[in-house]
Order: sequence, then structure tokens, then C-alpha cells
Amino acid sequence: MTRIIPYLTMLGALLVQVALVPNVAVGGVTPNVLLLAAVTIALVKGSRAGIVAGFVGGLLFDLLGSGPIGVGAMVFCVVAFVAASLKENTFADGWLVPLVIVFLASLVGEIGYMTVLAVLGQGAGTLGGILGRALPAGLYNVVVAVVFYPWVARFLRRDKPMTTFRRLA
Amino acid sequence: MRISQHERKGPDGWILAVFLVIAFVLITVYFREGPTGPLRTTRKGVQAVLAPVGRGGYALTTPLRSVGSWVGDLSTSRADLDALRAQNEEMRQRLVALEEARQENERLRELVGFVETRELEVLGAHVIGRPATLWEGLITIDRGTAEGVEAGMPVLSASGLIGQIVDATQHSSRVRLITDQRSGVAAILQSTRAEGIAKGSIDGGLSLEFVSRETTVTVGDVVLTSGMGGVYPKGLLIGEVADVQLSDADLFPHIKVRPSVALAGLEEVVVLVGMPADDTAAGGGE
Repeated sequence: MTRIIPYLTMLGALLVQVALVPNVAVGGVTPNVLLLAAVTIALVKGSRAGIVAGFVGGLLFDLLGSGPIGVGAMVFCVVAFVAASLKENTFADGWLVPLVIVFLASLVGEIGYMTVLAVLGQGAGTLGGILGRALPAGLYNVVVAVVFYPWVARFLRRDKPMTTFRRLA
Repeated sequence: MRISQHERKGPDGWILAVFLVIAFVLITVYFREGPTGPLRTTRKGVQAVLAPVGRGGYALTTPLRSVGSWVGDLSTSRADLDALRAQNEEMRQRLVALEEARQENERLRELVGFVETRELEVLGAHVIGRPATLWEGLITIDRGTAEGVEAGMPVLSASGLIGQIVDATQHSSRVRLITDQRSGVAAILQSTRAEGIAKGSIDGGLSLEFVSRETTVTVGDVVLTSGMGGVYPKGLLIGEVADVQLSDADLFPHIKVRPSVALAGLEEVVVLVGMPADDTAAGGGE
């Protein structure tokens, strides 16, 4: 049962991304719940699960769009791996740690996606894209993560029930 | 203090490398396959399955959007409204419903008038989905191949051009907006007849590119489809010039265009399923 929980998490994230996210856009900026779910899995379950979740999440992200399929999968699994490595090698505790990692992962993930698209000739990587899209999206993801991360992390750790959110950090 | 678990773990770098190779293979296959290749077919299937989910989400969040819009519109007289709201709750809800119907009626009449004036063969559609990701300027409409919609057909509103169908499933289609970074429309400046390409951008803006340096462009100039390329009819309103920059080093002026259609709030659109006889050589395209 615990093995399929990350997949259920990604499926839930897909449904939220399709049904809810388009309707909560602020100035054209939307949160990336699939990336958020992959990073959460990486932080809670470790880098191996994070890589798989990142690949699956990125692939779903690609299938939702109209760009080349595989770009999101490539970027998200790298971002999830780096996020897990960052968490494992950070000698700090506290609820701010996952939020900071989520922000950095979102920023790097969105800029990475934009850059790979530009390299493939599918768009232009511009300062406007970074300041007008990637940065606000990173901040939006952090806002969503404040609600999303504790609940999803608790869901992912069903084998180790917790009574407080404090320990999730 | 937490002890790093890195050393007792397996070689995750190799797993990452394997997935990166798979992703690279997918990208390669995507660029080499045709329009009916396995990846594009999979994407169509996923989108057909998820279209009802998007439509459900859109319907479910309507009250949320209505409340947001209501608060935004009426914030100046909020104190008065707070008092009235308690007494007139039922009446207000009816009024909102009636107002919604009236506005829809107005928009549809405007659309019908626009279509009749230009003698276009069109198909009306409702918007049922907004862009699901940050980097896509795509909306979903509730008409598909069963109603005669095909990839490449232009999509309009009463205020002007919206975009083009990029893919269609049986009962839904996706429209690439003119502000999407992968969109480009052959355009013309109404005042000087100078030609260019109205191109979307990564941050959702619209610009007019490749207009000759010798052309005098002023803020407020109207931008229309030029009729070149075979996709869009000639003379559809795209927008108006919002800003012009030209330095000595530039080959072409940097022209920002304000779209004539408020793309964020679209609810009804029409798909151009047939060209007028005198516009058969018209268009633009991606």
C-alpha cells in the first residue's frame, strides 16, 4: 500500500492542476502543483522516490501542454533529485526549510523548463519570462506549499503517523 | 543535528541518469514523429480524458470567481452593501443570475452581429478550460471534431482575433491564444499598410515584429490580420499599438500591441469553420 501512495499523490496533483489551478491564476501566473507534489515526495521519501515522482509529474505536465514531450520530465526529475539532496545535506530543522527548498526548486524548475524550451527553439528565454513568470510562480508555489506540504507530507508518511506538523520539517 | 543519509543510500545518480536518457529519447521521438505519432496521440487521449475534469473544475469554481468579481467591482460602496446584503440576499442572488443571463445575451448578440456583418461561416463555443500551466497560452472550448472543428481553424470573438485551434478531440478543442509564445499571425498596420508578424511572448505580451524601419508607427495604430498565409481572413482586428521603441542599432522597431480582446475573461467564442469567398487566400499562422 505504501508503495502506491506517491503515485496516488501525483494523480491527485494532476486532478488539482487540471481542475483548480487554471481558475486561481493571478495575473496569468499559476502554481505548479505537479512540481510541488514531486518536490514534496522528494523531501519526504528521499531522492530515489523524488526522481520517479519528478519524471512522472513532468511527463504529465508535458502532456497537459502543447510543447515537446519530455522537457518537463527531464527538468522535474533533476529538480526533485536536487531538492532531496539539499534536504539530506542541510544541517537545519524547522518549518522554513521545506518552504525555502520548495521556493528554490520552483524557481529553478520553471527557469530550467523555460531554458530547455528556448534551447529546443520552442520559445525565448527572456528576463521578462524570469521576472514575470518564473519568480511569481515560485512565490505562488510557496503560498500553496504552506497549505499543501504539511497535509501531503503527512499523507506520504502513513507508515509513520504523526500528531503534529512540526515534525514534518 | 541530522546525520546525512547520503552514504547508506544506493547510487541514485544512476537512476537519475536513466530517467534523463528516457526523457531525452522522448524529446527526440516527439520531434521526429508525425502528427499521428504515439506521443501526440497519447497527449490527445489524455486531454480527451481530462477535458471533463477541467470543465467540472471551471463550473465548481464559478461561485468563487463570481464572489471575487463581485467584491472587486463593488468595494467602493461596501459598507452600504453589507447592510443591504443581510436584507436582500435572495434578491441579490436572483439579480446576479439575471445579470449573468443578460450579459451572456448581449455578448451572443454582439457575436451574431459580428458574424453576420462579415458573412463568416462559424460555430459558437463556450470556453470550458483555462491554461493549466504557466508556459501555455491555451484555452479549451466545448466543440470538437464531432461538430466539424479541425486543427488550424481560426477562433474569434466579437472584439477580434483570439487564436487558432491546435488540436481537437471529439467534443473539445484547444485554442492557442495569439499571446502564446508559439503563436505568430501575419499582420498589417491599418494606417500605413506596413506588414509584420504579430507574435506572442513568454510573458503573455503581444508584439509586432519585422515591420520596416522606414515605417512610421504611432501609439494607437490599429493592427489587423493581413490576409497572407492561408489561415486567417484579412482584416480581423488583432489590437492596437501600445508602445514603439526604435534605436539606431535596431533592424526593426520594437512594437508592443495591446490585444483587442480581453483574453483572460473569455466565455464565448466562435470558430471560423469556413472562409468568406474573397478571403480564400487569406491568413497568417504559427
